[in-house]
Amino acid sequence: MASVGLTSGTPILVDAAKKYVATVFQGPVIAVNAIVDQKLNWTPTLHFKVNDHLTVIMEASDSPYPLIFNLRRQDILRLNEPISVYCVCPEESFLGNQADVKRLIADGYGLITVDADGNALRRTGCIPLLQQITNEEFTSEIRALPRKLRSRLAEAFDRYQHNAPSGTADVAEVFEGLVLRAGRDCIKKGWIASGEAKPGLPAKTLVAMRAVSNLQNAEAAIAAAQAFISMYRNLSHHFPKNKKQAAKKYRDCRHGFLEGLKKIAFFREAMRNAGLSGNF
Amino acid sequence: MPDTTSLKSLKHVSPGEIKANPENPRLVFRQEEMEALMRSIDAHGIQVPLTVFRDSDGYTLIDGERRWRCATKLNLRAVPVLVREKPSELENLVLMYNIHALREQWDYYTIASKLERIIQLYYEDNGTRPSETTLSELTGLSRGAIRRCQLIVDLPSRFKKLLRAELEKPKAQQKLTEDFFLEMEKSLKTVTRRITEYEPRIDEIRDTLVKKFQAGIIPAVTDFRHLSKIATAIDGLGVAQKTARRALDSVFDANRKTSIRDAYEATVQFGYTEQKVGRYATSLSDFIDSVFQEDKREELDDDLLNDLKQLYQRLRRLLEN
Repeated sequence: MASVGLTSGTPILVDAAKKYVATVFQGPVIAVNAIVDQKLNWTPTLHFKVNDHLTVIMEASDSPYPLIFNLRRQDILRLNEPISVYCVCPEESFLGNQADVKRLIADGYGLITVDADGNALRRTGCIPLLQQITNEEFTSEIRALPRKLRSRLAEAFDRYQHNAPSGTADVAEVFEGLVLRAGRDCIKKGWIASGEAKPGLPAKTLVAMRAVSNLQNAEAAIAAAQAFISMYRNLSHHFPKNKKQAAKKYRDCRHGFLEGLKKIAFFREAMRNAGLSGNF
Repeated sequence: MPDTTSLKSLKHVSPGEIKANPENPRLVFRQEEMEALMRSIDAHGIQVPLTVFRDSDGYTLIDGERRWRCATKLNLRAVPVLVREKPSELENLVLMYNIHALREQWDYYTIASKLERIIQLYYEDNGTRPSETTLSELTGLSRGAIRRCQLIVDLPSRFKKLLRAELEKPKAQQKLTEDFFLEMEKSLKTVTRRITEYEPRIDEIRDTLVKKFQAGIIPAVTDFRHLSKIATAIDGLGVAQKTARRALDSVFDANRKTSIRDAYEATVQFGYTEQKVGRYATSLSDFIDSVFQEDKREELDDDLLNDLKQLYQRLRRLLEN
């Protein structure tokens, strides 16, 4: 049996959230105060599926950071399924509790506010918790890179926070750019033939580079670049066929994005050590 | 009175099999208190069983709606319940008052909303309306609480609806609280007792005061105490009724932006301050008399003597003019 929510203010927020979801997500079936998964010890205010594999949970709350988010974060992650979690709170609470709002966003949750007339507004979107990368994690990975590269990767991170597969593919694109530059430098040095470093053909460039004796010490970095680009380049184009594949894809996004940052630094360092000067 | 010995066995049932009691006078469940309880239940489980009665399609709560809401939120598989006989409607209501109201402070609207029903059911059972004392004994509420509830019960239904709608909003969006209505009603009672001409216009006056409060012209609910003071100044300070009326008229005029504070300051504030200072002067005179009588002149603090000298200078200036 459906309950009536935790507080007496819940129904107003639920009505506004339902209207919002119906419009923005094109009328999915919304479950109100229903169990998402028996393993999850939390009955959220409402939840719905955006498609076969992506679930969105919304929790109506008088404050921007409901306690249940703290209590059940690990449970959500343990489900190992792509689930995005939003808080739905009154606009007045949003305006009056900015510290909680910042904490909410930093922890990877989305926020929808409801004004006194019952209109809902998305203040911040979110990706499934499974994919969340914190600002701190990202910053520590790119700290050693040059400013221009950091700024390009920050763009990819921004994209990741709205669409993780697309953000990860963007990192692969940055990597391809580095490979192209390395390839062009190799051509200048006469290490590889001129047709082997062209835009859009990183695999060919990397194969050619592996055969260069001057790059023998960079073999691990080149192999890592090959593996990364082949795994993540087209990530956003592959639609998962089932829940299991979807969970893997979403998990892989997080791993891929962070792995990309690490491998970019590794590749750049190896190329510099090999004497390539292509603006690394 | 309900038979409290009719408790049956302790059982464990799924929260999904339980439904809220529609007669529960408690309507407002606030986030902070619910989260505090939820944290405790999450850590230690439900220590005190809920009380329910068996109904056609499961169980209905008598006691434990907050625990039940938390259990549902935490997706608990089962909660401990004590199942008792299905009570009569009056027993049901009276039980809830006694179980809940003694445990914590409820909103007055919450209490008032079902108090009317208790009065009606008592009348049907006993042929007389319960006195304030009987109501207090039945419900466990103090007589003061019952009187405050009565102020809310006596509100015209559209104001009660307005208050109910406000209470159902999330706390951050609530503007008109029951404190607002309690303070307004108390002050209007004081005003109409002294100036009966306002009685026929009382609803229109309420509307104006609600609008002025919503517009921020009346910034605090405690301002209504000043409204009472304007009316009581007729007897207490000897202010002319027409002066008090002029001040109240401007507050009660929807087309004027006069606040209660403006009206109070312009008419009676000085009088009340004078009255207060008069009491201080009497107290000071009494003190000085006692200093002489007890021969304690030498014991007076130097700072106090300095303050008194300065006061003396000021008094001379005031009295010589």
